[in-house]
Amino acid sequence: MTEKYQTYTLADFIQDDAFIEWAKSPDAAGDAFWQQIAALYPHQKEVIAQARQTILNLAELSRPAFDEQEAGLIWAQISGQMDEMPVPARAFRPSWLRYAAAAVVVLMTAWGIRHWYRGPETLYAQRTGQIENVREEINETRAEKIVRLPDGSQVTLAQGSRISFSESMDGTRREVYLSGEAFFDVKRNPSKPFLVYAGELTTRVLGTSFTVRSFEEENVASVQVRTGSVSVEARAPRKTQSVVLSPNQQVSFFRKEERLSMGLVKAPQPVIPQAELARFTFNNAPVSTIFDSLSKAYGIEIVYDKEAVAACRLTSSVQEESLYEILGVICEAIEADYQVTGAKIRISDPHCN
Amino acid sequence: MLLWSAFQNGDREAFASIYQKYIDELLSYGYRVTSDRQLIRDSVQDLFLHIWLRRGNLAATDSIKFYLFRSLRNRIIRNLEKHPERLHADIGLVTEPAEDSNAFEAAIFGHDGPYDSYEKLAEAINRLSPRQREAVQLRYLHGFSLDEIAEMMQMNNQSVRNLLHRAITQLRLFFETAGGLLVFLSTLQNFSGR
Repeated sequence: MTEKYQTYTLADFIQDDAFIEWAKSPDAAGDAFWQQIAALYPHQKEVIAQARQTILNLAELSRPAFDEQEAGLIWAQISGQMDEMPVPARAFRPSWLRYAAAAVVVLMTAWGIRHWYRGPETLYAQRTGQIENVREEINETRAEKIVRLPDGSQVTLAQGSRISFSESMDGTRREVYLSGEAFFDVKRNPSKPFLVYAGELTTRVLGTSFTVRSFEEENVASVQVRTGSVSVEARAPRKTQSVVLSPNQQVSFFRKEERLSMGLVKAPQPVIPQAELARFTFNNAPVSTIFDSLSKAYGIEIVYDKEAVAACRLTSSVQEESLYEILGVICEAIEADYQVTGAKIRISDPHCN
Repeated sequence: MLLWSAFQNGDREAFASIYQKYIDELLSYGYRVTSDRQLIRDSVQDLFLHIWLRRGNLAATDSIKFYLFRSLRNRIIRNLEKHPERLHADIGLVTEPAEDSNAFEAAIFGHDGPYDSYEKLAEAINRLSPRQREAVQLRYLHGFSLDEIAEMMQMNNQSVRNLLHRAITQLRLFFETAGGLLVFLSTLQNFSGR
């Protein structure tokens, strides 16, 4: 029955029912079985390991990003309409059993963190301890500190932050270890990916600019992208998640909850030259045109109902206002609201005649 | 199973637990089926209210998760059909776009932007046809069997198998480079250390 695995390719493994089952939820029986296969056909050992990782990558990369607040909002709607009988004030009424379960979870988590996972601080210490010719830069001043890396990239280190990197940076990748917050302006080099390790977050780029914030004592770590495209992986004890970010997007990682949440940076910057943006003038233009131009200028998806805005026209020009100021002015004129949900901006239906 | 029967007997906490347990996966799947958030929100809300109100009449089910996924998908599609203007923008429920493997590779490998192999795999997945992406997500993220996927997507088992096979064949180029040696090596260690 196992002969077929002798000639399996990577693609065969990742389409095999039993194999997928094991990769997704490994158990003792599965471990034993696949180890036996690897022992029988030693040339397949690497293929098996790679196929398993590929299945996990496929799972993560096929997961659409969604707004984390959504679940709570929908539940509020549901519990409000569950029936005519009075709805209990607290839907999640704790019973002693619940407390006990919670206590067990807390204990398990504490145990898990201690045993499975060295805290973020030791992660930094542990990783930097292994670099050869390590150079560490610490910013103990109150101002920002500029650090030039051996590859020509530039790092702006925030107060109370530190980075480490190899003096030579001669490996196949450029690797930097961060504890705290820093803005990276990375020199483009397609043959040498640039990686920032900060606690659970690993950020991979080729050449772009972005900010990483990961203070050990804070629950939320984040990556914000100024230019280019950035991939971020969060590796936590229970699961590994990843996202690809484009300019003006940010991702927040909630350590306790092990959740990644996509959003927009506080002050989005245009992805076209500021001068070009300043030439934007709209004369009695349909607002859909204005929204679409802004969407292009900032690389941010702006969602609105085409039919609902069909009657809206505006005359307007862009001076030095921020994106949110511009949207505020437009929305006021057409009696609508805008709302940032996830990495998109949603415009409510306007009232134009 | 206990959870489901407790819920059928009107236990609100069991109902809340079912919601908590599956909502993240359901939302994540909903976002794959349509990009219309309001529609997803309404469909999830309808679905849960529906099963709460009709709890006495629901069949005992051996897979709550499968039941919820299938119902959510049907609900989204019904809602989409009420708004046909929205349909075209969303999943390729109607037609499968023609596949051109060469164009697919050229589009990704020829990309001049700052992408490396890991990002390329992400992008390659995004370039699969909507039905392929849906099947890949159901299979590898949510862990459904071919039969379950076939029932959900209203195809036969062999068609799902072919759909996934074509997706994997298209993505194959990226497996070899993507994922990176780093993860690869750590997996290898885990594997031999087990």
